Amino acid sequence: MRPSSRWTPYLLVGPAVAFFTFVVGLPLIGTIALSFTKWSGTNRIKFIGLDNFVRAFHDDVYRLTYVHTFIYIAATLVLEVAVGFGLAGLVSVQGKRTAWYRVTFFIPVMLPMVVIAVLWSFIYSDDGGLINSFLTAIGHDDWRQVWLGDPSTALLAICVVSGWIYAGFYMAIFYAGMQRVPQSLLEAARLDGASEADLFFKIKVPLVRGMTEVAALLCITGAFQSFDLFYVMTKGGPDHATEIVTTYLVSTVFVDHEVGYGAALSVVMSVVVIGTGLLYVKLRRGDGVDVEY
Amino acid sequence: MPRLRPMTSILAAIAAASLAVTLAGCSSGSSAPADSASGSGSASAAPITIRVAMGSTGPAVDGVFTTLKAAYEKKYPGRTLELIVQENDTYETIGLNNLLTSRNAPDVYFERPGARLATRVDDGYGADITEAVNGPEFAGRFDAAAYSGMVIDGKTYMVPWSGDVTNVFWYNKAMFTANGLTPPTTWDEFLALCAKLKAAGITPLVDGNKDKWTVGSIASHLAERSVGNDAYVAAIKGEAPMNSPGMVAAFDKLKTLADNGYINRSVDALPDDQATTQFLLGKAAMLGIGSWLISDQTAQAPTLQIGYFNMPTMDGSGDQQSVLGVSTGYMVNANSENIAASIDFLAMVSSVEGSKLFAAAGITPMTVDPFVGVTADPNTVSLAALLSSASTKVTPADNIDVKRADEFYGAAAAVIGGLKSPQDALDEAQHRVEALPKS
Repeated sequence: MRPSSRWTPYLLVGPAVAFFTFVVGLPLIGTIALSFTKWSGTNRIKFIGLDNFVRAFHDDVYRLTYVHTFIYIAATLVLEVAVGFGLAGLVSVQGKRTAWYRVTFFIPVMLPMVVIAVLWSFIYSDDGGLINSFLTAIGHDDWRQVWLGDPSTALLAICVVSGWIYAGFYMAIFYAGMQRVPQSLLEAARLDGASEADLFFKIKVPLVRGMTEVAALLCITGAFQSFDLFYVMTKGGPDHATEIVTTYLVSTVFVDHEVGYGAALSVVMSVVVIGTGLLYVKLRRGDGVDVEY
Repeated sequence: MPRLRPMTSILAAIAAASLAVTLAGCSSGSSAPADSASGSGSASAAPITIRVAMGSTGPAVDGVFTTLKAAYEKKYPGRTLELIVQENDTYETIGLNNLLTSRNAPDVYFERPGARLATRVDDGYGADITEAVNGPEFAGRFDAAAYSGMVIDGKTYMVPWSGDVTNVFWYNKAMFTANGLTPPTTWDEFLALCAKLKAAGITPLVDGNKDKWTVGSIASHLAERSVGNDAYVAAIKGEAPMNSPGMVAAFDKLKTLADNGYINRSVDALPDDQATTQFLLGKAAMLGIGSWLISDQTAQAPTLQIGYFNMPTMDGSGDQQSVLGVSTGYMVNANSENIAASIDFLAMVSSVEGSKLFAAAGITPMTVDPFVGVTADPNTVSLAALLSSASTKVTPADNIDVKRADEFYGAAAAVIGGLKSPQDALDEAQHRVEALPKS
């Protein structure tokens, strides 16, 4: 059906475009504009061309934040996506009462992130923390660590917490996907003598592959948005060992009051995130057979 | 800013009730404002609102400001005082900046002298109040030294408010007595004391350096003691290398504490409030932190007997009797349309009666007579005397240059955490400082 007026389509999309422009477009343009300036937030804005970007590429700590972010991505792809996938496989096994497990695994997703961060800070605490107390109890005092104060363990410790939270989230996604696998297919396989493991690896996994790719993309882009866990648990320390882009940004803008430089760091991060996402989409294989939704 | 104990709330409330009337009726201590253009001082003038912004220093002090607000409005009919009290971290990071750039900016705001004050003046938010502070309203209220860091090119931009000793070593008196220890006067005595405590199975020193400023403060003091105040300030300002032999020698002392296990190994992972709790629970013999510990001790462990000693003397070219401390104050916004009326309020804050209220609330006012007629904690009074009589008052690095201090504190954290040698840590800090744009 053709619209009654040639303006009708524009009127229909107008509100959405206006809203997007207001909440995304204008801040984006403002951030890009500020990235070419030196501004503390209160003084007169001074145009300095590309100086902020040159500084960013020479900033040791800023470069280090990307290393940490990509380590975090690699770790969470395993601890969140892969573990979530495995959990989904377990809770989708036929004949088992899995609702309790599904709820249990999903509970961390519903808890406030700051609460989780504080809770795990106590678990990791050197003095009376659950882990170190357990190690002492089993006679391995020598294994005690300052988990969040040692650069060799701090980042991994945060990754574990992140996995603890989001594995349940990805489990829910994969579980929904696995539930869409045609029962007739599974029944036929069972009649042919397939075990639950066979059903999982040879039917469910291939059929939810597309969902796995989406989950991985969510995990990767979500990693760039991480902030609260890192900020509450370590504030980027010790010695920048857990510094990620967002914690460094906050420090730059709100502690050092370098709004212009912070804007430049944001622009670079946006380019990296978009580039990573596009690269990922490009690398995705398109010949798979997915579950139809 | 330090948090204040509940008991002080009660004391402050009692004091406030008795003094509010005095303040409101008192006309001898603060004259009527001279700037008629501001509309102040006249009951028939157009109503004006004075907005005062600050970070919260705790309920007791916030209550004093509420008392002063009532007294001010009573004394100056037609004037309304609006208190903008924000959570302290919020105020210091984004709160004040947002307020100053808003359409309804504060007329008066809390700030720190030194680098932060200079920035406010550069940005056009600092009114020159030289004439006012030299006038009758403030006559005899402050020593000249109180204005340290508040004067630029002969112009005064701040009215002093409070002073804090930023770092001393607090000790558990019972633990010291049980182990036959007395407060050390030299660094060698300090190390011997730590060794004895460790041998007795006691953690000698606890600190929470997650935010880097606690050990950073100790490092600031060690640096001054090692190289002298001018050289230390020059290093933090970027005018001298941060990795000079003298600075490395200062950081060697941190390394000694770390290497010998004299400080809790969780130092870099522990927030300062948790370190305070550990000290108050008797899990360590000493804690390196500022004068605001008294508030926490009174609230959390009122029966615990604590004492303090200043940084022990050591080999170095600095002033071995120096004290690490900061002062705070209130600035008047240069863009305010009610500068004279704003100064009237600051005169009330600095008055004899105002000082008494703040002293009773646990603050150490920078006026000449902060504790006259006030029952204050002996440690508070003693620390105020230590600060006011210091031959050299050392400013913590983050009050000199925030960005460079961040690198300096980061280096101190790396050394105290046993992650880097003093030389490596300071070399790296210097490298990063050199990469910063010239201001």
